[in-house]
This record gives sequence, C-alpha cells and structure tokens, in this order.
Amino acid sequence: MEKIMDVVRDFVGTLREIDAKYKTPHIQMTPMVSLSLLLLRVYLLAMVAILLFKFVSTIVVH
Amino acid sequence: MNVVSKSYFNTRRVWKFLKIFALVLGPGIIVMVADNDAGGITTYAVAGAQTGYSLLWFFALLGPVAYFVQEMTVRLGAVTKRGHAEAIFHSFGSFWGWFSLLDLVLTDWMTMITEFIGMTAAMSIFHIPPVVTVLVCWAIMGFMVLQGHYWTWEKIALALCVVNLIYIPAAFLIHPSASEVLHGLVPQMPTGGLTNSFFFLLMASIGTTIAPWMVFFQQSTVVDKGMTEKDIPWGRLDTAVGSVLTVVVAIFIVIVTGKLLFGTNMESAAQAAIALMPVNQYLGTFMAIGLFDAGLLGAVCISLASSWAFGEVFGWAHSLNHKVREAPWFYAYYFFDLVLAGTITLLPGAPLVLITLFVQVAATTLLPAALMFLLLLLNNKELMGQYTNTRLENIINFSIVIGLIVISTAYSISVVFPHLLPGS
Repeated sequence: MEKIMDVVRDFVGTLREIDAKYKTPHIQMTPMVSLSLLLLRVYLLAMVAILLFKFVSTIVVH
Repeated sequence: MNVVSKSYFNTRRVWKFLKIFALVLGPGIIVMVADNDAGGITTYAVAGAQTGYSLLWFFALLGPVAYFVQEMTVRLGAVTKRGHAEAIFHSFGSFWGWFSLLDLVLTDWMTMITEFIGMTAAMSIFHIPPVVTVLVCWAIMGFMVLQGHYWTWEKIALALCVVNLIYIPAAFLIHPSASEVLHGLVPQMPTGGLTNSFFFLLMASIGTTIAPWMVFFQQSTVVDKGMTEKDIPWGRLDTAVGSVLTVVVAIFIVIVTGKLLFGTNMESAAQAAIALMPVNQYLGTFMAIGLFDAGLLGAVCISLASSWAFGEVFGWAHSLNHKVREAPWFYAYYFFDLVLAGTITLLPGAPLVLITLFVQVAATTLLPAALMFLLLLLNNKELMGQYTNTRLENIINFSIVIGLIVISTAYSISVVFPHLLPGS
C-alpha cells in the first residue's frame, strides 16, 4: 500500500512540475479567444456526450 | 549529341529529385495512408453499399481537406522542432495542454480498439482465431519499434502503405464503368436525401480522413526524422502524395462495394469481404488483407502518436532512435496502448461494430478544437516567422473548422430529433 502511495505521490509531483514548467504561456490569448475556445470545447464535449448516450441506449435496446 | 547530353542531364536531375524525395518521404505518406485505417475501410465499404457511387465526390474533396490540415503540422514541426503536444503546452500553458492531451488519449484509445476489431475480423475470414491475431499483431508491432531506428520503422511502415493499395487491383477486377465513376465524382445528393444515415456517413468519412491523432503523429514524426525548414517543400510534396493515395484507396473501395453490394445492409468491411468471396475469391481476399493491413498500420501510428505526446510532455526520452532501456516509458506506454486495446477486443459480448461507429463520429466531433489550436499556432508570426499561414491558407482551414462544426451539429440534431429531417 505504501509503495502504491509513493508511486501516486511521485506521479502527482511530476504533474506539478509540468504545470510549473508550462505555467506561463508564450502566446497570449485575449480573454475573448480563451472564452471562445472554452465554449467550443464544452459544446463539442456536450455533443459527444449526446452521441454516447444514444449509442449506449442503442446497445441496451438491442 | 546535344539531344543526348540534354537527355542525360534531365535524367540525372529527375533521378536526383527522386533520391531526395525518397529520403524525405515518410511522415506525410504514412499518416495519410494510415488514415485509411480499419474504421476508415469500414466507412468506405458501408458508404459504397449504402449510396453506390453518389458520394465519390465527397471522398475526393476530403483529399485536399486532409492536405491543408496536415501540411500545417509539417511546417509547425519543422520550424519549432517540437511535437504537437509540447507545442501546445509551451505556447498556451498547461490548462489547454492537458485538455488537448486528454482529447488525444481518449480518441486514440478508442480508435486503437477499432483497429484491433478490424484486424481480428479480417483474420477471422481465414479462420484465424482472434486471440492468435491479437498476439501476432502485438509481435509485429513490437518488432517494428524495438530495433531502435526511426528509419527502419519508417521503411516497414511504408511497406505496409504499399499493401494498403491492394484495393486498387481489387477494383479493376470488377471492371467498373468509367462513366458511372465519373458521374459519382460530380457533387450530388444520394437517393434518400438528408437522413440520419447520410449525416453519419459524412461524419464517419471526415473522422477517418482527418483525426486528432494525425496532427500529433505527423508533427512528431517530422521532429523525430530531424526535418528542418529547408525540408518543408519536400514535406509538402510528401503530404500531397499521401493525400492523393488516401483518396484513391477510398474511392476504389467505394467502387467495389458500390458496384457489387449496393443496396445490401453492410455494417463492416469484414462483412463486405465475406459477401464478396462468392463473387470473386480474390476480391474478398484482397478486401480482407487490406482491412488487416489498414488496422495494423493504424494501430502502430496511433499508439506512437500517444507515446510521443506523453514523452514530449512528461520529459521522457521519446524517440524511435532510442533503444528500450534508453526510453523505457515511451515504449511502456506504446505497449500499454496495444495490450489494452487488444484485450478489450477479445472481451466476449463487446459491441464491436457499435464501438467502431461511435469512435468515428466522436473523433470528428472533437476535431475542431484540435484544429483551432493548430491554426492559432500557425498564425503566430513570432513562432513561425516566414512560415506563418497565408491568408488563403487561413480561409481554407477556418472554413474546414466551420464546416466540421456545422456537420457535427447537424448530425447531433439528426440523432436527437431524427423526425426533423426531410428524408427520415
């Protein structure tokens, strides 16, 4: 159990290092562009969720 | 004598051109031909069976679309010397980087499963049990990467690309009508009109022609191959040749199933291969071999795309020029992907056809987000210098993104409200 926790801690540490390394973007996006990209992503993910629901319900029906 | 010396020098020039091209070719051709993966072959086979030749024009149109998208990755990789994942993290920060990486991992993982589905289905036609197919595929894919040289891997992948062209002689076996094929290349609506099936075919076709993994893969191969700015024109040619090949293969598959299986209820390429066996054994065999090859090539490329991306972000050694002990995590992730996808394919009762269909449309739906970041990078003059997108390139690529969003939305609407469509 302790070894697993050590692995998890190492992994989280690596993620934090990556976040720190790439903390400052080199291309500055305006707030409008950032918001548009976020909304686009949310919109696309919502569509995928709808499709997944339909496919899963098709599997269940069959 | 003048004629002789002119001919000699022209021949030398052409030979020199071909030698240089042979050195540079690879990333573009491999990514485009691998793009005709198991899911793609299935999509084309089903499209031909459902619509005949009436969507040939659409497949022809996807060639330039794929070229304009993938060409951007050549420039980006050659100029920045970074893979796509690292480029996004570096340029946009970790929030957008993780989002893009998660997109890639999800779509790649799902697409990997469809590759193994295709390969096992193809080999089942020859009575080879799925578990044997999966084990053999693991062995082949392991051999391809474990010898520690990018160039060796590339040559094997190019050989697999040549096998993928098997659909061309297959189509000639059935003597298709040239006039009917030419008519199919004229934009038209298939009989039945705007139905849920029609939008699904559009989505699946787009999803198999341009996929997020292709963006990450080609950029990483450009970097791993060591291409620089001066190689960009050759990279463009490589990509253009690849886009022609991908369209040619797609069209020839549609020709085969469009002529022989039109009107039949086809759900997969394997089913098409089985249906074609009584018509012409060579035809059915070529379809099956092509499907296996498509799945194998797709699986190799997709798992590498993910491994490269993780290696770039996590700082692992991540080159095919490294041996396993030099890049353990790179190869570990590669094999993890293969083993996981192969294992899921062997699960009894898994809805394999539905998984294949869902993956195609999901990948297409998520694609605009990936393309937007690619466009933002290619429009940054500080990053790209003289290789920044031109106005024409921006018009074309932004149109592709908008077109994708419109078609995805139309398909989602057709799924949720099927009775809204006039053809339903």
